[in-house]
Amino acid sequence: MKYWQEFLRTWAQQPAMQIATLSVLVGTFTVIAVFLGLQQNLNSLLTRWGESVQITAYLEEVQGADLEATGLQLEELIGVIQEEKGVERVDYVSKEVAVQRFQEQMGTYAPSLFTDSDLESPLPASLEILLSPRLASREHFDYLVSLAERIAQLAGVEEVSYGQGWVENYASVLDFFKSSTAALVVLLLAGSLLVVGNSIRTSIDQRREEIEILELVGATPAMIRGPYLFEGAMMGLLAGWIALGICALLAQWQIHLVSQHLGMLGLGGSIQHLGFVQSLGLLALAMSFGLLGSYFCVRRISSSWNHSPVREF
Amino acid sequence: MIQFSHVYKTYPGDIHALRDVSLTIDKGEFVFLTGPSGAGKSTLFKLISAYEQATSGRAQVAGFDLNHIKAAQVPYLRRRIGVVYQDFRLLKKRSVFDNVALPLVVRGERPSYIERRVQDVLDQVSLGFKLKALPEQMSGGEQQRVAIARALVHQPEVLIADEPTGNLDPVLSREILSLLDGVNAQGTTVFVATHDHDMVKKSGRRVVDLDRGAVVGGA
Ligand SMILES: Nc1ncnc2c1ncn2[C@@H]1O[C@H](COP(=O)(O)OP(=O)(O)OP(=O)(O)O)[C@@H](O)[C@H]1O
Ligand SMILES: [Mg+2]
Repeated sequence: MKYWQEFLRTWAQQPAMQIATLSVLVGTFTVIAVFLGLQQNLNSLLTRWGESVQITAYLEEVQGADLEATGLQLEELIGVIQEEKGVERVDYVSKEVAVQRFQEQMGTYAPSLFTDSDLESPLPASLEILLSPRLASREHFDYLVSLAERIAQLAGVEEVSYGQGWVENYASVLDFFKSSTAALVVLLLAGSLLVVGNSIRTSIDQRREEIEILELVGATPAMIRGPYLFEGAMMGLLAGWIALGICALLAQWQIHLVSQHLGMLGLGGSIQHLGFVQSLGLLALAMSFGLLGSYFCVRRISSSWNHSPVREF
Repeated sequence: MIQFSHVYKTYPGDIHALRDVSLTIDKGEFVFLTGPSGAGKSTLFKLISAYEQATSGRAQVAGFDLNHIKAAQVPYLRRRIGVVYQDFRLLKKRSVFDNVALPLVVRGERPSYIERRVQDVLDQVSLGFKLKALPEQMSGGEQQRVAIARALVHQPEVLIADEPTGNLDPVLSREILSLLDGVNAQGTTVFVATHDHDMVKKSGRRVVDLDRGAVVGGA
């Protein structure tokens, strides 16, 4: 209870300083929370993609005459591919199915050419090779490439596609994003220590005399430090809490924006707020850095005991 | 209770505030400390309350060896002594009650006890009706009595008082002195610095006389 009184007294004594400190901290933790949120969303997007990681092998055109032989060759091909490590399922997509799907996706935009059932489909038949989700990660990327190359070599396969460029870029962007976020967060946290420290130092300076009197009547250093540590921790907690609020608003606005303008990508649903655990983590982080910033200031708060070297005789 | 042996205190700039002070005050004694201004009276008290450390020599107070006391122990020494500072050292923006309660709060006493005890002590210094006043709105003599009350509230083993009657009229001075007598009669060791020679003479107590940092009588 007494700590609260001290905390409120500091606010009453130097409101401008406290508001400035709090604003900087709120800014810091908002940025941190936003980056954490972005990273989480990018991650979940990659995971989603990973769930459907697949190689499409387009088959060579076979002349209509040799249908039976083709059937046999096809079984063989599927068998060989299924032997490969990481392959979960192989589906055959015939020319007809390919056209049908195309029509479903494009709807009314489909050129009439495709709707004309008399003409032979211009789309090739293909094998959809569904891979284990583990292959989606950056580490397995090389294997994915070599697997695709091996499949491309097989007789009957014309061409393979697995979104090469996109996967590669996405993974490296994510890596870059992760490391630059980490650097930024470290920088911001160091800044928050300084800001809290500065605020605490000011309130200590304002109460020099009081601290000395407390020491003279026998207060221990821990008792004297207590209110300042509390002040730092509360400052951090408050800043973290406000930052979370701002983030929730931002995320709301983002989802709105995305669902309005990018609805057709179906991404709206995949954007998530920071979860409960992450929010709690952010609060704990903010509080402990407030505490730490304060701690660095009050470590040497004791002033009255002059430690001068003593000569004895 | 207080034992000094060949204590020197030299402030930066070669100011020799205490020179070769040897002094023993036993438990339960009442001793006056006299000497002209600048003789080193306050300095001696600062050493006793571990506010300053001796430059050389040995000093012991209430069983604490001041040469080897650790910073962490200093608060516990201070809880066993009561000090009236020459400049009072009150929290000017806190009430009289808060000021006097401080030594008890620091020791973690119960609020109900604190309330009772603070009221008692303030009654003893005739300030029982000024619980809520702020020191900055009080006269010098009133502030001095608040300082005395704070030094006594935790019933210390040793009371050191630096000119506790310096700002008081003769009537109040006598009251304070009889208060200190009473405290001493209950077993507290009392060590009082003063310029008031009349008071010292009338009391017939032991007097330690300082001059330019050296003990010239009474040790
Ligand atoms: N912190 C300090 N730094 C330097 N010199 C000091 C300090 N405190 C006291 N002195 C010097 O030490 C000497 C003794 O001072 P002290 O305050 O002990 O005298 P005193 O006997 O209490 O005097 P008074 O009766 O005026 O209170 C003086 O010359 C003073 O100037
Ligand atoms: Mg003095």
